[in-house]
Amino acid sequence: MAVQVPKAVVKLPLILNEKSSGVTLIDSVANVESEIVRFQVPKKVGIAVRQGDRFAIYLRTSAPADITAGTLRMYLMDANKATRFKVLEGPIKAFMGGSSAGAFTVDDRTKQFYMPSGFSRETDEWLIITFEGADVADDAQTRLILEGVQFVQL
Amino acid sequence: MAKQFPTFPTEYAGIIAGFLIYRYGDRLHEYLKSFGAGVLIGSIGQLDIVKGLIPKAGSSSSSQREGKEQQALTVGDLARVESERTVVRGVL
Repeated sequence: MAVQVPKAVVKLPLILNEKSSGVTLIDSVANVESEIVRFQVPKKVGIAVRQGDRFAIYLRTSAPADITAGTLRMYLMDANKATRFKVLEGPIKAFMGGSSAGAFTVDDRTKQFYMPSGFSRETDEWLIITFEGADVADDAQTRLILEGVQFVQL
Repeated sequence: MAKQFPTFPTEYAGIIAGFLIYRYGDRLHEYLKSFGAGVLIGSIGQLDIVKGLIPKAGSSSSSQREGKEQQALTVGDLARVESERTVVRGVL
């Protein structure tokens, strides 16, 4: 007789960064709102970002030089990218957390950005970050952190 | 020309029949008084406004809804609930 493994859901911290599974980094296009970070929620996973969770991103050119001017936006999209909701929009500096000169510094609480409201995404849905500015953000230089919680179905 | 009879909504047919039996039923048999009252009560149950209070067979009752809530939540459901929470941070 086969042994049936009981299904369970595990709650784990989510610390999304540029190296996380499912995250894709892309170069930006000068003066065009372009996707620089794509994250598709893996199968059997749901993520939740709560009000007060930390978000920071640091963009640099290929030179490399810090990018301190431009507009950053974050969108939530469905699995087909048919609908999208903008959840963040502001100058890049507001989300840098004081990072500079190649150091992704996010430990200064006075400079951190905390999410004003929560949101959730589930399997196959997208979290997209775009940048619009004169400088071209190099994907290899992009650093980010987004805190939250994830639920993984075993 | 054919004689026209007034028409009534079917919801009132039971009430009218009940009233007629209640009012004139004793002429046929005195026991029809109580029988007529029974029809009247039954006809009230046919009113739409009363029907709405009585769950139909196969519809979700309160106990069934409670059962649904007891079903395992998906990771998406859990994430939605979690996203409503607030992270309170201390001030340095």
